[in-house]
Amino acid sequence: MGADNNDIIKIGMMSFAHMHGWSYAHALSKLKNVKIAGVADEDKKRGKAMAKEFKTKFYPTYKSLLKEDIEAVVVCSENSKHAELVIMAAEAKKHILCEKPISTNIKDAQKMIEACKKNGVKFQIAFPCRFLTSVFRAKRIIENGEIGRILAIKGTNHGRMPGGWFIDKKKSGGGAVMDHTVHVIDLMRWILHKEVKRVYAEIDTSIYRMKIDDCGTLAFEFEGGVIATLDPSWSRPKTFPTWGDVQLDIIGEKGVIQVDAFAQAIQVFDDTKNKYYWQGWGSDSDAKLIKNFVDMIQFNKEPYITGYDGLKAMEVALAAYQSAAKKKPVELPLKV
Amino acid sequence: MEKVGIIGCGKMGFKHYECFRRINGVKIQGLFDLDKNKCGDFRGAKTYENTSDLIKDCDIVDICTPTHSHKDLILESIKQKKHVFVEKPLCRTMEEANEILKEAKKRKSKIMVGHILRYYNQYSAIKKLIDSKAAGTPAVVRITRLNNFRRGANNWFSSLEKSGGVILDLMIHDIDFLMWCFGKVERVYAMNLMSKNAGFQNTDYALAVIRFKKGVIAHLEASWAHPGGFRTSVEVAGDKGLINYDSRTPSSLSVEYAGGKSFKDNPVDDNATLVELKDFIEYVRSGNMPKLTIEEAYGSLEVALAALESAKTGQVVTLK
Repeated sequence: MGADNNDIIKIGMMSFAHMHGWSYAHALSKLKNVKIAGVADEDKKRGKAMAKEFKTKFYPTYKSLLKEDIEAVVVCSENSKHAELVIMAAEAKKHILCEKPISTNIKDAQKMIEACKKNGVKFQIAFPCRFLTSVFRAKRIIENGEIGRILAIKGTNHGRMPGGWFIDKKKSGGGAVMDHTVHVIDLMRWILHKEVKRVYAEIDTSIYRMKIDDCGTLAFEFEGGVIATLDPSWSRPKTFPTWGDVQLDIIGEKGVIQVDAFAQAIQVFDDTKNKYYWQGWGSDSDAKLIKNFVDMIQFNKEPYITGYDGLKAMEVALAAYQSAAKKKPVELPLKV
Repeated sequence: MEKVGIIGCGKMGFKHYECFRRINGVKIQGLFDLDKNKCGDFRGAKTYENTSDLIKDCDIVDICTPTHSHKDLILESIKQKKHVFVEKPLCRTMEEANEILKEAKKRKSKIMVGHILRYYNQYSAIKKLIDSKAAGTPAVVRITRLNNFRRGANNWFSSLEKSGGVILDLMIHDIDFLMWCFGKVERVYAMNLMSKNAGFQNTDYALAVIRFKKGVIAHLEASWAHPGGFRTSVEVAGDKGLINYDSRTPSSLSVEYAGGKSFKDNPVDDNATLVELKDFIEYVRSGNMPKLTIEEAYGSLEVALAALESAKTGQVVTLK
């Protein structure tokens, strides 16, 4: 497709079920070399509203959108529909950015990766946390050898309970652990250049007492012996001043690094809203993820975050559920 | 008038000395340390040549020695009908702990273990909040205890055999605190560097996941790998809110000196060690139970050793 710099890259949006879809579309709309060529969404009301907001055409079906002359799509459907939409887009020869987690099971993930390979399209998973400035800086400090060999990492990705389809296991594949494990596992794999070898997890439903998990704590051992934990709980209350956090405490032989990626915030005590909150002022990681995806297409590069990265991160979440059920550590890779 | 003998004149021994001196009716009978030079900082206190003479001459034995030496000193003291205050942990192994409890039951000696968190204003305040359901029913608790590595006498902390590493030395504080708040433990999974024998000298770092019988999930972090020095934190996420404490932020006192040095502190009227030792003296005098019984200290040790076992085997350890 070898687009040169003056070409406009046409990108279609497939579903806005995940709220990140709006953020990605917003970032696309700011890029001069991109045109949002259309929106398809099963939820017609939502799709039409988004099409209107981003000044583009609404397509009643995914197939009709994929027939258009577009180069790439962004998939932000419910997790359980990622496989269907990604395979459909791959067969229509479109490059794909797919919201995390890649899917809800390993077989689907493998089929998605295979379909993209077979059809010669680029497949990227949306892990915007790799573009958080403090995370990026920490990785550079580590790669400079400034804190020596990495021995342990303590991570959190707390959040509020999102509701909607996120708490419907058929659509999400799991609750807090599925939703919030993959981001930080991806960061750990990316920083360590190693895979998780063993997973232990305690998972529960004790915050909202719904059918789906809302809290837990995961423990990992990586190849080479690095130990790590992650708290993916939906444990931030309604009164908490922000949505949640991404934190990494990285213990090295010659020092430690603490990342609290969303601590770049101003405290606001607002009587007009009867609310105390944090107003973030940090750089926009979603915008950088989108720029990276567009650059990949424009300059014909390999994906920065591959389908395999998506699969390995999801596998850890799946293993965590198995471990919690068995009350025992689980060895990776999982048998499919 | 109670006569106290302090065995072990390292950091904790000195702290206890400074506190015992401030308690009415308590007299420091004397000190013992394998390294006599260490006793020099203890103004005017008598130095003994051996532990037996010191134990004989006092009413209360304060044991501030390396962990692996606790058992013999406790047994010798209670056989001599002395009361014992022993720095945490109670001892190094469950076999030792069983022997101590068995002997203690036979005798009238009062034994208390220095699980000091129960005497800190902030930890008491956290427990009070939990008990009053300030965040509803607790679901996930995160607790940390970070420090740089300290070289004790003959660098005993660096020996897993002697100290039990950071799990038995630091994490046990938080285990005890959590058991004070949430009761008995169902199972524990833990990992630490020393158990992995990764060839690191003078450091340890541990992460543990504990499931309490009440259902609470706890994440514990204990470190000797943080060069920035001592700090702790507690976060309790419940079904109706969140409780969050960090020893460094905010701080009620910050001081900067010309030249760049600075420090931050959160001073309180009575330091926790003094309150703890007063509680012990009260226990000795009137029999009023202190905030921590020996059975509770035994329970905390059991969980800490289960964590150590898990770290060694890579398996989850279920408590009885």
